[in-house]
Amino acid sequence: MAERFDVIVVGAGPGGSATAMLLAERGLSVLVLERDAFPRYHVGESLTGTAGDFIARHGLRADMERLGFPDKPGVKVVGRGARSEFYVPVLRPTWQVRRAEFDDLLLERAKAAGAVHRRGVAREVIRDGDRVTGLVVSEEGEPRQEIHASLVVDASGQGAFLSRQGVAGPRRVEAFNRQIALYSQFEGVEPDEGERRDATVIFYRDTYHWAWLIPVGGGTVSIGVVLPITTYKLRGDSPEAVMQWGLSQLNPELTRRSAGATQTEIMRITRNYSYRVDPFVGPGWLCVGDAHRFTDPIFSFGVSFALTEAQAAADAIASALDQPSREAECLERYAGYCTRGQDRAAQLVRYFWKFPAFFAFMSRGEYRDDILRLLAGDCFSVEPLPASVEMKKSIEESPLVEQLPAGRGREIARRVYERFDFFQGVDAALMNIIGDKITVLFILSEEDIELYDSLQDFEDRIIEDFGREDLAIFCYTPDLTSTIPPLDHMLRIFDRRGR
Amino acid sequence: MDDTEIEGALRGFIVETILEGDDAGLDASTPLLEWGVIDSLAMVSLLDFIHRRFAVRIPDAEVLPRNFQTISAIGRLVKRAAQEPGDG
Repeated sequence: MAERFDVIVVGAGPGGSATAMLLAERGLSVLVLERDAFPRYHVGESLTGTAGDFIARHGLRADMERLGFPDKPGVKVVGRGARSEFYVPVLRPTWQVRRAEFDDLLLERAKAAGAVHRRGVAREVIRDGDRVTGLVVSEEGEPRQEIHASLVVDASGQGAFLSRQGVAGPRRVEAFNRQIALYSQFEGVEPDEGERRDATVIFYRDTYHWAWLIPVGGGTVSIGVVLPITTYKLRGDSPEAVMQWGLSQLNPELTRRSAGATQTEIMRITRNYSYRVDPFVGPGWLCVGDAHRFTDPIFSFGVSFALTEAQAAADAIASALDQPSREAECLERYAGYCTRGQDRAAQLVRYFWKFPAFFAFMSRGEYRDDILRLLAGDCFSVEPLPASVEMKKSIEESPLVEQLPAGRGREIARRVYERFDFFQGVDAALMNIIGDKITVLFILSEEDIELYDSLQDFEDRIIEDFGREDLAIFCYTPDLTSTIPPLDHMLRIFDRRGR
Repeated sequence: MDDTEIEGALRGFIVETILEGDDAGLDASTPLLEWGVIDSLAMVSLLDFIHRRFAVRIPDAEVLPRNFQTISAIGRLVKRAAQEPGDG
């Protein structure tokens, strides 16, 4: 007879191990399946206040001290020019961690709580009608076997297992997709002064060009350089050369502090990392953390959001197992909660890049407390904070769109602006309204199949909401620019070409 | 000071200092942020100009995109700030 658990969790990163731990603590039988041997390296060393809360709530503070993780005092953001720099202290105690040890700690806690951990790979899902009822698993050195469960949790991270299986929705690229991050660890980096010694530092230069500096203890510092893929190619012909360009050109403080540094780890590269999966819950399954959404790493939300979602997932799963007839409702509530928090974080990042100078002023004025809370990871509240309302308005309302006459054209223009303004890969969106006929024209920076898929999705939704009649949507890649009709009389919903 | 005067002074500063003389048909409703006329660096110098020229200081909490979208929006902000007591 096939083996059976209440819950199978795919992936033992922070989201997976925390979910497993919380469920095991409630007396449920849980299997955590992990592909890699732990401890293993992972990027994303900075935690926010909400992760600190999780650590305090679950009695892990002594472990943080034992492992020598530095207390994180705050985040310093350094831009270009006067008055661009600001510092945001943490609201609650939190840490900079070496993920190999931190992730291993959480997995050990899950095991101590009673979760079963096995090293193996989830190959495919087992279904009964619409319902996921288990997984086909291959464990090291064993033949494939079926394992059944009442619920399957996908915490596979960027692998997005259930999306690739066609169970969850497709993985669609999001606004910060066309980025490349190069990162490694260094020794001999000059520390910041005084109490900011172990703070996270974010250096930014032009839009989407930035670097992180995170002290992770024992004199080791994680440094990453992030660039748009299009300019990456101009900065050097190897990852090492591009990292060198970042260290020497992004910001004078970074250049000075890294001048005597030695790289102590291999260099790693991640690209095209901004995406979301929708839907991410369904009959017998749900996704946690990066398995359904990753916006951008700039404000270190990754681990913190995974832990926040794990807590909500564990509550939803416990309720669903308790009252199976209400499973859909419990999982939908969980999904709404996650989307609310992730949307607010995405707004924060988008506002930062679209209005960097305004962001710095916001962090000093009467919105300061809100900014502190949002950067601590408190993005999931039912009612948005006033700063979130202000940022959402600034991102979504365009003075140009508002000047259009009321009607279908303006509503469609609004939707185009909301979705694609500041979306990497879409350089411009233009609109033509002749009588009732509406034409929307997207100009893309490069041919990219994933981008087409996202635009197709968007088009489907527009047609669903506004009808197919008298509506045409076209995309042009750079090689087709000569075939673009004359644009002079068209409304530019946004146009970043030539900036 | 009336609206026309404030807007005229703002337009003059933006054309001369930020656009370096290239006026490009700039009027009171040109979307400054959307068209990239005002970026981060330009905004700091614009705030300094407002302080020097109108003897008003814009509070940090008012430095929001919607107050800088157009010359007329900045004009309204300046007038509002000038009416605040005890500043300048």
